[in-house]
Amino acid sequence: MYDREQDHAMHDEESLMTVGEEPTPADVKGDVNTASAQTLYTAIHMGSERLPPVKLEIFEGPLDLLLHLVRKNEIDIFDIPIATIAQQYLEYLQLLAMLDLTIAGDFLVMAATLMRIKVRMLLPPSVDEEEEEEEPEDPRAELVQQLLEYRKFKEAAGHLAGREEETRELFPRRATGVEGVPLGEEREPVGLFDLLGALQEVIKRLAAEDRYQVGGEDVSVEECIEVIVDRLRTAGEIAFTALFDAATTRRQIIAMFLALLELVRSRKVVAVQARSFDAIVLQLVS
Amino acid sequence: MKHEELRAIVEALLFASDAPLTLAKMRSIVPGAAPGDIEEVLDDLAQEYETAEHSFQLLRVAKGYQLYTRREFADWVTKLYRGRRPARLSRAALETLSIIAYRQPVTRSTIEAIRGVESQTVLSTLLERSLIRVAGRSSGVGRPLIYETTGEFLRYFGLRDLSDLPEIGEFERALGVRQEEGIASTVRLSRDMVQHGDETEQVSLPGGSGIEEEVRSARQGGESPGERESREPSRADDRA
Repeated sequence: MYDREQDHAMHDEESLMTVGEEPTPADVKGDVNTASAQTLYTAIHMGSERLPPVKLEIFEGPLDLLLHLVRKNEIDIFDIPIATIAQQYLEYLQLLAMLDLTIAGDFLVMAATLMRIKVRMLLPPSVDEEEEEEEPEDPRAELVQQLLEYRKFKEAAGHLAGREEETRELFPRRATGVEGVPLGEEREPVGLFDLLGALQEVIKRLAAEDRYQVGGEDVSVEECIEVIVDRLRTAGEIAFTALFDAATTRRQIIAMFLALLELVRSRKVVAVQARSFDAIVLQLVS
Repeated sequence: MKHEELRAIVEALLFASDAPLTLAKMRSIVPGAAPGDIEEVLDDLAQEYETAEHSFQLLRVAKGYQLYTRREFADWVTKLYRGRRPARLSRAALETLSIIAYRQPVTRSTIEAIRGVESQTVLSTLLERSLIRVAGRSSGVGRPLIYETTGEFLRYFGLRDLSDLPEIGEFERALGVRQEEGIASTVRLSRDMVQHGDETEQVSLPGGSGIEEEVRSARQGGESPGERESREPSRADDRA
């Protein structure tokens, strides 16, 4: 299903490009340019008031569109004929406006940049500043820099896409772990409130199982500390809930919990979980 | 410990693991193995699966080892998982990921400065899919969040570690930018920008100061280039 969607999207992109590549004679004439500049100016002002909500999907962004134009015209990226490119860029935006697509603000910002560069290219090199510069700055410099940088990462993204496609054909063996304890995920220490939350669950469950007994043997926190350390020594790690498997009274549960808090406080035991609300696991600090 | 015994143990561990198994983890489980033995046994297993034409293989991925089905069976296993696999990443997501992978840890404004578009939505998607995580906050103005790639990123793209990615410069070469020309003009451009920085911003579209402001902030991504350099050691530079 996904593939079909992608095909569809690609088809759309292609048809759009074809329309864009054949500007009507009227479009090529000069006055359209000023008209579009006017519309854009208005659009920019509107854009700053309320941000256009829909992102243009055909090109990833203005830099992507510019790169496309550079490639299409077989232009040397270090010597971009800015007037031509600016005009084609605006034609695309007009086309998109005609198709009633919302143009993202970033595209309009770039349109303004292009026009600024174009104007500066037309102005004679600043004669009033009598500093004899050996090499006057090219107004396109910053844009070229940006394009080169973006193009590099666009290419890197293509490489990742290739890897993604290859890796999707390989399926990893993934055991489900034991008793809901994930094995290999990176786990992070949990805080007091997570432990309290987990304790609440345990008490609720025991109440539901009707395991509460009145009376019963009292245990001290010290004894519980020994029990926990012993179990961790043999098992390596245990689930938080497993601590209370043998508990039958509220006093026993509380003693066990206080023992755990003491061990965590003194950094002998660490309580971890893979992600929020996952099972909490206890481990000895080695 | 005999070689065969260790091989069987390691195989059992690989079979029962739910994620790439690191050498360190295996060593901690089988402390009796001599140094180098586990690696040897892993090579052995990989070869055995290969020669015995098993339907699965042993791969090195995300700093560990994991069993994977062979590519020939992709069509069949895909049917098994139909409708239960995450969608492929969008182009925007891949672009953003590649920037994070090569420049990490990196702020959103740096990403947006390179891509030239708003990137918050994409970042949320990538965070949700655990391909990136928040690495902390930058020391820059406003202390923005900084992002880095995760182990899941390595796993998803079948990478052993980050050095498995080609150097970023290779993409430049692939694009046919003549290296010297590229560097030369880069140097020239940046020097010019430093020298003329202030004047340049003043010369420009008359009466368009509002647009100017917008353009400038969009380009700089709200931070000065110096700041960016100080907290983001560029991976490409490190390796060059």
